[in-house]
Amino acid sequence: MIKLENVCKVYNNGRANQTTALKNIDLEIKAGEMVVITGPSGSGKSTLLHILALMDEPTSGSYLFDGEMISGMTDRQKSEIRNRKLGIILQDYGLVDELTAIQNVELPLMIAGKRKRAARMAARNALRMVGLSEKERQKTSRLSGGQRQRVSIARAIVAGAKLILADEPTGALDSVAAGDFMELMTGLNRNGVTVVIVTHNETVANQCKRQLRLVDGEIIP
Amino acid sequence: MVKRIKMATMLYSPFLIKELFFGAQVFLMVVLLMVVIVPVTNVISEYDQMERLYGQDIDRLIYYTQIDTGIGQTETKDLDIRFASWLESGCLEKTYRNQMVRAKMGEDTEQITMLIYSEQLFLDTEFQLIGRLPAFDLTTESWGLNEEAYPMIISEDLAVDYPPGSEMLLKMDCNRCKEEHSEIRGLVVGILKRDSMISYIGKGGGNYDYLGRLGVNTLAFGREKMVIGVYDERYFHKEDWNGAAVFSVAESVDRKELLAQMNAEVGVEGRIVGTDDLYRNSMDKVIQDAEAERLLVILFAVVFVVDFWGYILMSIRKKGHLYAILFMCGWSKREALIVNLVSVVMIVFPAVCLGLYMAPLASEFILREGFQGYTWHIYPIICGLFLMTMLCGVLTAFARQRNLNVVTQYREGI
Repeated sequence: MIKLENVCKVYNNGRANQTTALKNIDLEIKAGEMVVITGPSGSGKSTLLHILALMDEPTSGSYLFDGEMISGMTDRQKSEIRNRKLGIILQDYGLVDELTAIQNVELPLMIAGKRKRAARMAARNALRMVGLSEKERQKTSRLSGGQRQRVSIARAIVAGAKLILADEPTGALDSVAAGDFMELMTGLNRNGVTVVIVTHNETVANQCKRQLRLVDGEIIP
Repeated sequence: MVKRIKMATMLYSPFLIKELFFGAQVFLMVVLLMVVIVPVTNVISEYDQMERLYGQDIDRLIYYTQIDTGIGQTETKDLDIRFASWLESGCLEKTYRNQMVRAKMGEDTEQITMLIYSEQLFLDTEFQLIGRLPAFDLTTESWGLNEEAYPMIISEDLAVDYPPGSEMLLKMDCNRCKEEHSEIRGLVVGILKRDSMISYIGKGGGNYDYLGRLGVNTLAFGREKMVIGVYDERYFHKEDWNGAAVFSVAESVDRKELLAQMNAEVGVEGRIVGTDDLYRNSMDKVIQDAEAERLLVILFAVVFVVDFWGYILMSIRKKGHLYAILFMCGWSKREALIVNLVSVVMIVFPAVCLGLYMAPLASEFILREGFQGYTWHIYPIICGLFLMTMLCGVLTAFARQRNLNVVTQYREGI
């Protein structure tokens, strides 16, 4: 599913304030795995996730996703992969607060060019999966943190993503909501979706089959 | 592309009210800029020059306009003609008070140039002619000429060709449309010695506030002791007209002697209607007003900088938020960027255009309502606009505040 070879990420390359966020990362994640990445702040977790999500590019090394070499792809090609194969969940949810829950969930489908009716149906299904059917017409700004997180999960899965990437997804949730979140992720994983979670939360980390620890930009075995 | 546009419409429709707030803010800023700050800056510039010239006791005619005349322009080369283009561009097209008329005398058009501002100011930059010309009549929309010759006071340089009692033909043409409008006859009623004048300070309609009560709306200050005022027919009937009158003199001046001198030099009977104190008070007021306007300019400059900086920052963050979400969900960078840019342009462009269109109308309104610049009347308007602008800014800020929290999450990715 994912194969990183010798991936490095350097910010401000060549300048006095040059920072190496990732050092020679070799990583392979097979389809259907549920992986958690832990590590202290500044260890490069988010950078790694952004690279996996095709939102950032490595300074060097290669990235193979679902059999396709990402390096050298155009912005549009990467956008299509992000749209169709990736689902991204963020600590702050990344929702457009001015839109309703269902409108937020529809976004990837509309970008993909789905017809309005089909997009609406798919969005409803996704919201039903996360248990938010009754809130679909509410603006996300009026939802609780846990509910907003579930909207962002619905948005991540609505287009049939093969890989879910979650960056500190439980950071703003209480323990109950965090438990609900992990339950959803586990359910998705059981259905064959690959899940990668970046977190500080040990409870969350312990629920994943595979754990990776990142320290100073390197994966510690 | 159609789908993209539909999606952009859906995405931005919830932001419409907020964007309208922002548009209103931009609109008010433009109006403020055009109506208040530009003329005020101009006035201060002129004031500085006037002060400098007058203070140096230079034999030069200068004049001083105010907000309601909108611009200051003379043919005198050493005065800044900064805003002439603004006038000529038609920004104040409907503001008839700002009609600028160039009068030419006879065929000798190069020799004498007069500028007429409002209805009362006139100026011969070559010091060769002082006269009074009719104004543009707002009710009939025609030049208020009458059958009679207008009394003119001319300098001694012209007296050879135009002795008292002779007539001179003045051709008037509009400086904006460049068309000749009319000819008027000037009747030479008096001669002034060149060195009898030092400066000419007029303050347009603003004089009504300080000096207009006495029926004088233009002033010419004589060197050392002489101040010449010209009556305004709106306040004085024809039978009161003497062509010229001694208006204000220094306390130390022997008034009888001065009157005799005026009679000899100007050829008409004059009368003293005030003293130099009036002039000093007027000048003090002018200085106070100019200082007040200067403070206002600084204040507005600060508001502009702070407000727009705040907006730009917020706008970037807000757009960054949407941009990031769109990007994350599968839009390419270029697509997301274009939509965001279009959304900004769609608001800002009409707001600026509307502001530019409304500024002259607002200016005209102020003039029509008699709010002569440098009077307290203008301040409520300025304050009102200022408060409205700030209100819009605050509302916009609150409206956008909620969008700020997610941005940092995406910044690296973007």
